[in-house]
Amino acid sequence: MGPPISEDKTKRARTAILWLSGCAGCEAAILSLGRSLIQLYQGLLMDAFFLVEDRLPFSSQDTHYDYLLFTGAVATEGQLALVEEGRRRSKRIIALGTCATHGGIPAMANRLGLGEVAKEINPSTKRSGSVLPKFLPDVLALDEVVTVDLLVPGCPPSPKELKGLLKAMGHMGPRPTGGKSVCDHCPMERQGRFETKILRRLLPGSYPPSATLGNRCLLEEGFLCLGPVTLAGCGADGPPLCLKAHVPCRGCYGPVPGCHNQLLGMATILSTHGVSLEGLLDPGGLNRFIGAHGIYTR
Amino acid sequence: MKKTIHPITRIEGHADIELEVDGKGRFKSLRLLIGSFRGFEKLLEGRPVEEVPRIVTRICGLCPWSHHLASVKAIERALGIDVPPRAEALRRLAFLISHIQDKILHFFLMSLPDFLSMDEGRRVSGLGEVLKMEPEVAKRALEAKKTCFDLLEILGGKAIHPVSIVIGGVASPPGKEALRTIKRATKRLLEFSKWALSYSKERFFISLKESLWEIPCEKTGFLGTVDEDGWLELYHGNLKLLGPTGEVALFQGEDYGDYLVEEEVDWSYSKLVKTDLWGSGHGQRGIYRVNALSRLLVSKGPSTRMAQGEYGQFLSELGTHAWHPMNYHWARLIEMLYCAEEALKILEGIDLLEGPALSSRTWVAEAGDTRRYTGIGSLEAPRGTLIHHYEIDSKGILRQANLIVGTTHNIAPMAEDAQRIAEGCIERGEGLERVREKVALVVRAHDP
Repeated sequence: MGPPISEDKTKRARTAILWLSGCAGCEAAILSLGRSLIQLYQGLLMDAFFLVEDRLPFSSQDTHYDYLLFTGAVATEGQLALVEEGRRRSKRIIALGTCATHGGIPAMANRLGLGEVAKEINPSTKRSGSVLPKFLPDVLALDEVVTVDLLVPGCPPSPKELKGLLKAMGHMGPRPTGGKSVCDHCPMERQGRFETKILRRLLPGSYPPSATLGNRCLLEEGFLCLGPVTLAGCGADGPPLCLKAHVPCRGCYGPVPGCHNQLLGMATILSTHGVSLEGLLDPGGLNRFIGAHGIYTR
Repeated sequence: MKKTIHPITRIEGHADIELEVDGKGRFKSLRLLIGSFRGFEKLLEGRPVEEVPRIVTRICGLCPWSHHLASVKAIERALGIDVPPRAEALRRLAFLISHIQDKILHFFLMSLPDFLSMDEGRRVSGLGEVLKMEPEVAKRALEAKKTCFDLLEILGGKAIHPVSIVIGGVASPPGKEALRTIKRATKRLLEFSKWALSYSKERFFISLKESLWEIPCEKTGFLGTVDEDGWLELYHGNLKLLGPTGEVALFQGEDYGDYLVEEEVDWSYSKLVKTDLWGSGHGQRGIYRVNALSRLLVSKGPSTRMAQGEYGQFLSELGTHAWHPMNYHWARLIEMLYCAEEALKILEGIDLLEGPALSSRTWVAEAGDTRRYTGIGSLEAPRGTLIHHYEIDSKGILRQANLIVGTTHNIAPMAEDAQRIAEGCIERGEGLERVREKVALVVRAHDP
């Protein structure tokens, strides 16, 4: 995250957490940190934080932030302006959560365009002269709009990661990032061969595959799992959360370094093992968390 | 002259106020602008059904459990898949705990500053100040919230955006040790819920009640869910709509289309939901409210012992004013106590290690079947009656979705209340900031 904002450890970093197009799950995760949240509040000078503070950002001409965290994707002209204003008024911008880093679920709308989506859902609403926010042609990740100092993916990021991040902000200094995949953290047993050449669905009758559920790699059992192409971190130092719950990874931390398109990454892996790609019922759905950065063409 | 007041904070969602006054500064109109839109109904089209419960969680990061479960219920209904009793009990348990954590968040982290403001006679802006003014209260609330988070992670794989509820059951039922942990923690949540009421009842809900009712709101209808005996129910039950002059309609979630009407407006990306049952004679235009207060008022109240006692006091203290939306907060904390009691009842009364956690039925796509399968799943999300309505094709692909999200029922009544409040403020010569604060009070009570 670059050099420390200030060497003076007694000075609290002025911080705001602003919500764009998203579900507030990142905020909910921060608010679930328990007592640590109290310490974090003491360590930071918290200003606007939409969910729990009745303060508006940039409330005066000279409001500047040491850290400005954005959650959610950039979907409207108003959000775009807010992010640009934020860049001018802060030393560090942090994209928090997969919506901010990769577009997240809101960027699934890029398969059609958010304007089109709205027209289909609200067909009779007049849009000319509307007082409602105007959509951008594409739902964007934060780094498509401004320079971002730190990307923290996760849907939502793990509590440990959030604590580490906010603590690092409170006490200054950068924080390390890892580059491992979900598989690197997964305790399931891999044998290097697939049990089936046809993908299985997570529906009664085909799931669970056998009494051995919980031991064998779900992907090798034939269940589409995005573990190989997805950045680790959801379970912090422990096993990945979805795998721990016996369901396959869906890629919510975004792609592992070196992979820019989770669909292509998975298609390569499946093909290499002779698994039929016809079992991919919704190929675009494999990129459901990373629909910004022009991943969907229409 | 039109003026947009940005935005109402400490709510789950985005809302602005557009106020119009004439040349002499007199009130002309006010609109509540609901500007967030992501288009989930459309995003779900074409997705394999088993993926849907893991996508809809992102509709709301505060109540992902409601969407996860309503979605699974709708799909199971459509495909005719049964759910073993053990899985049902685990789902219900998780749902109750998700309600508790949402109520802690809403009352202690989002709304307590409003009550402290009234109590202290000065503006308290948010959590930062609460931490200083009421450090012990904040600590208890944050710890209880964290407890819920930990339990929901055990039960759902992930606490926020759960994954373990799969079509036909539960993918990773907790073992003996985990259940013991859950039980111990739920007992703590029960103690917390009792304390939460004792802390806030005298100090805020009772002592401030008259000033709360002064906020001009309209008496509307109410919608909630009741069990077969008419008691409060959150997970499986019938919908009950209570009209402003006592009309009653009891119906199944599947039949929502016969009772509820969605309406597009140009000031909200969310559609409004109203009823056409009452005709136009009441001057209420089919407006009703949902969420905790509604649920209590349409039902016989909570069926658990302690919550029932609390509800009795609620009714006798509030009398004919019980319907007032500013009473939502009190109702919410009674509901929290009910959830804790009910969760403990499951943990103590049902063997959660016994029997299968996944359906033994097999579902396969049949070649040549061109039928569409309809499934509707409804439940009471923390923010109100939630309905997921899906059309699924014979290959198990979702073709069409209609979602009625808890919050949307409350948009129409909130918009009406906001008008009336603003009109009063402007008449008394109060400024825009006062309009924003007062409208926010009512909006927050609804917990949109």
